[in-house]
Amino acid sequence: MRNRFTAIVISAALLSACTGGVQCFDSLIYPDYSDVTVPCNIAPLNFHYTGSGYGRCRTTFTVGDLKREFRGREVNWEESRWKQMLSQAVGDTIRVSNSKGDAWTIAVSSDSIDSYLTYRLIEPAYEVWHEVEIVERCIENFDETVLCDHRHTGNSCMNCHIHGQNRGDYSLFYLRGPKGAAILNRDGKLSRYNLKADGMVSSTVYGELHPSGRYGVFSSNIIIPGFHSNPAGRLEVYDRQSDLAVADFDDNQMHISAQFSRADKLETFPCFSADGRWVYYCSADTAALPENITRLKYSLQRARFDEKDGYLKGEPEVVWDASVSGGSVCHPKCSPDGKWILYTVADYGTFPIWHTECDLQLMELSSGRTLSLENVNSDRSDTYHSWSSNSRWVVFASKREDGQYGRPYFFHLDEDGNATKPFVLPQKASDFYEKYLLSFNIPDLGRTSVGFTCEDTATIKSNADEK
Amino acid sequence: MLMKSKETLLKVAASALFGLAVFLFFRMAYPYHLHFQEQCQMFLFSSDYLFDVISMPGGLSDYIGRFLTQFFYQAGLGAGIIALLSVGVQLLTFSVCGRRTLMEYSLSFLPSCALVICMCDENALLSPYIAIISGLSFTFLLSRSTKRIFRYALIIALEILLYLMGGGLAVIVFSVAALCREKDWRLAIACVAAAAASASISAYLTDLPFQRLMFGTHYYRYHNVTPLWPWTSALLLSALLLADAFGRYADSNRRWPAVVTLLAVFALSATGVAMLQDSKKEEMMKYAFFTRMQLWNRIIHCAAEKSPDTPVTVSCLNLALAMTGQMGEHMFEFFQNGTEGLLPSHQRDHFSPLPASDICWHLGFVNTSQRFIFDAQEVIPDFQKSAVCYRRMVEASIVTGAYDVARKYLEPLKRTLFYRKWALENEILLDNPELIESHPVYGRQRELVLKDKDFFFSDYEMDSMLGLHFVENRSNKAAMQYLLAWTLLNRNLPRFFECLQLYDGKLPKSYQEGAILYWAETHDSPEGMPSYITKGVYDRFVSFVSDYRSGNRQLVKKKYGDTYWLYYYGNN
Repeated sequence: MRNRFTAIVISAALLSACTGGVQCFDSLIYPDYSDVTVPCNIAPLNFHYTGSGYGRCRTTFTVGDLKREFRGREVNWEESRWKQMLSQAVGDTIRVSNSKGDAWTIAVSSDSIDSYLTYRLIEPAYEVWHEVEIVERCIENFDETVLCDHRHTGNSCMNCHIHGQNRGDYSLFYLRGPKGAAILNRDGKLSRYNLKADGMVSSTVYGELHPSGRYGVFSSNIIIPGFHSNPAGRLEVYDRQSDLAVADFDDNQMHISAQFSRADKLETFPCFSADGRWVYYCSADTAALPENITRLKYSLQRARFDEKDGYLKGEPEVVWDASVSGGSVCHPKCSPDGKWILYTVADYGTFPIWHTECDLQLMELSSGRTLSLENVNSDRSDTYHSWSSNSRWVVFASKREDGQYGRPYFFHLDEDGNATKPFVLPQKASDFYEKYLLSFNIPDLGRTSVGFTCEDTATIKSNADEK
Repeated sequence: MLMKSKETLLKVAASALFGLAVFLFFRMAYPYHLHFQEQCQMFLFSSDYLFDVISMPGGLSDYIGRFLTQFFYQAGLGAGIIALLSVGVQLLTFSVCGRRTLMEYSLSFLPSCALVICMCDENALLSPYIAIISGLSFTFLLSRSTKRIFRYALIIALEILLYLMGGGLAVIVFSVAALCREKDWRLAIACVAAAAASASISAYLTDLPFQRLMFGTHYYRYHNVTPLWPWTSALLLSALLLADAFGRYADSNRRWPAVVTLLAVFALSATGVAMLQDSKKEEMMKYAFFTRMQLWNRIIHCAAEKSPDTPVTVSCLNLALAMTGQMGEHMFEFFQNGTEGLLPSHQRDHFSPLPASDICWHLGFVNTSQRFIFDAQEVIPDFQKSAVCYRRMVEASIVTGAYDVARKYLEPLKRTLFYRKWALENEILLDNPELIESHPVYGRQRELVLKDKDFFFSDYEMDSMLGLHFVENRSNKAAMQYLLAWTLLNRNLPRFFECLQLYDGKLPKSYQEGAILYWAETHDSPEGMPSYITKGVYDRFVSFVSDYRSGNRQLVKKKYGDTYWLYYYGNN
């Protein structure tokens, strides 16, 4: 028997931190909307009691002299009545009590949240999928629009939809497979782009759109999936190579800078600063993978972006040093007011969704002060966040409920970086998340609707007029 | 009177014989196709599921078809259902005929036979049966007593209703029957227009292609395929009804021509079944079913009768041998196709992922088993969920401690007929997690999984992974057998010899054969040869070398067909 197995042996000590154990989710109500802060334009918070003996319970919502009472285990609001209560409670608190003696509050922030949320719905499967769609949900009610789905695209895979500066008329997503392309929604008009040029290791993968509307910054990644043997782990995804590139949508060109395409560096998850003059991204030294996967740690860096010619320039600056902090950073996103950058920290690697230790962390850009957002993070994966355009709300994907299915959670952030307890996207049926077996991927906020549907996507896919 | 009773007897005998033949075929010759069909769906007793299915045009026939398919869990019930439906279609076909002659009785078997032939395809569904039965049944609602305009209005209304319930097949069968009754070409035009309008409105409402809405939203597991045989059945039925209504029969009530026709129909159908049934797939499904049910001895028994030769069947056999501790002794008595026969590589089909999941499960690769089972469900062509897959996902989630996820999967299983009891039992376990460690299945599986080590699953490093599993848990004998088999099948004798040091106890035949071969390749004489190589194996090896050098391949194959040596030299 060989002494040294060529398989990658990851230390048990490391994994003891992510045993994937059971998180008891015993709250009085489901979903847990107790003692949360919600935006003044949120959809009704329907819920049900989880315990027995609530069949004849009376639940009372009070704000000022306005009262609303529900009987039974379920609390299902009529939208108009909920809006009425919400409008009374702006900047105040809704007090909730029931005949069993339980009481809690719902604080209603005067900060509204962007009204639209896009996400991809997919089984958390491995290599094969069938039901996949990108959906836009109006957060103010329960309306949904399918932007792209497998039925209209010949069962193509699709990657998630991102807004540029929370604009509904400026967004991008990918269609994969035959006739696949990056679909750019610019000024409400859909166009296909082939974002691959000579010198790039692959087509673009992760990225963000520039405030000017002309550019996008992307990483191109050779992505390798690995499947953990240990029950505590599951799927690991790492990059064998990754570089940065800038897409110029006006000139139909990809701009590649040598120092951001180095063979000895992995660069990924780029995003623009609020003013568009910097690109923040994650960077790590290349390593022999997968053997050294646990030593693969990404730092947060930034580089200057020259809007005139669309190139990344100058020497990168380290913003968050993995060698000092010990973790690995991914998915940075700058707040629209330019004050904060929010990112995810995992123990290692670049793919956080199956890392139970992976948490959100906030940094004040002016001072470099970091906030660990303890009341936001759970003991399961919390990642893939998006800012509201007023920088007061954040949505992120969390697997806190069961460790497997990602759900969109929201939290409020005040001027000083104080965050509130997260709450899950409200659904019409209070037991929706208990039954629903699809994951919500990459939730992204938009001020207005993107204005296209899956029929438009099907048309643009069949249209070979690719740029 | 006597003539009449003889005719009745003949009819009853023909229908009974037909039903019995269909039943026996599916029960005795084709049962694993039925199990396979059952594993590709999860019928739920819930209003959500009902509305989800019947909201599509043809949804009610689909719903009833799925309801009946759940009974395929037991092959006898499944065969009985197909037999009853087949006889039902035949009797209704005859009932709708106006003249009801003996000849028509014989010909009324044709639509049923086409449907039986259709069911030989594992992707065929029961919904065409239900659609045709509903189309034929609705003709009995037509009355001659009312005014023509009312009759026509009723026909059109029923046709639209049938479209929503049963889809295109139900509509065409009903329309032809109504046309034959009314004998008015204007009605035919109205029927076609109503069907096209129904499909067009549905296309607008559902975003489904018009063609699929016309030819059936769910008559076949592949949505983009219009199945031939159900439409052949409808065509035959229509032809029969049109001939009955408009044709000029000679004395078609004569007995002998009817009997001859009946025999010809049966013979033709038997030929069709013989041509279209797929014994290779049936064998694959049989091995997969036995593996799922852990009927190891039945697998070995089947293999002894006919050696399996596909990656799926060989891998099921090898698992059975390992689970009964016979791999080292007997594996080379059967055809071996390399390491593919230990764990089939990842395929995007709906045959191989399920047995692959079972193999990984029994070896202790719980995460990989879970991955295969996810994929097994995702590749079901009509996007249905699978109760069988859900069950394994519950098991894997319990073993990995993901109890919240396990509960999610248990919920739908609790709303099934045949998996409800199992789901409730497992829910009790989740409520009392302390019982899980001592549970015969989960306790054992938790022993098998790696606790201290982690690696990424790799098809290329199976030996390392198997070695780790065995080293960490010496009771995982299957991992040990797979480790040695992996090296032998890879013809990697140095690695085999290295791993052999881990083996305790009397060395099985194949291992001795591998060891002596390695010794012969690395030494000049038998002196110092390990003592675990018995004299019998040594003598046979000497004889093999001599015969092999003689170049008589036939003789070598005959004399040493059960040895590793023959596999090693590429003659297995």
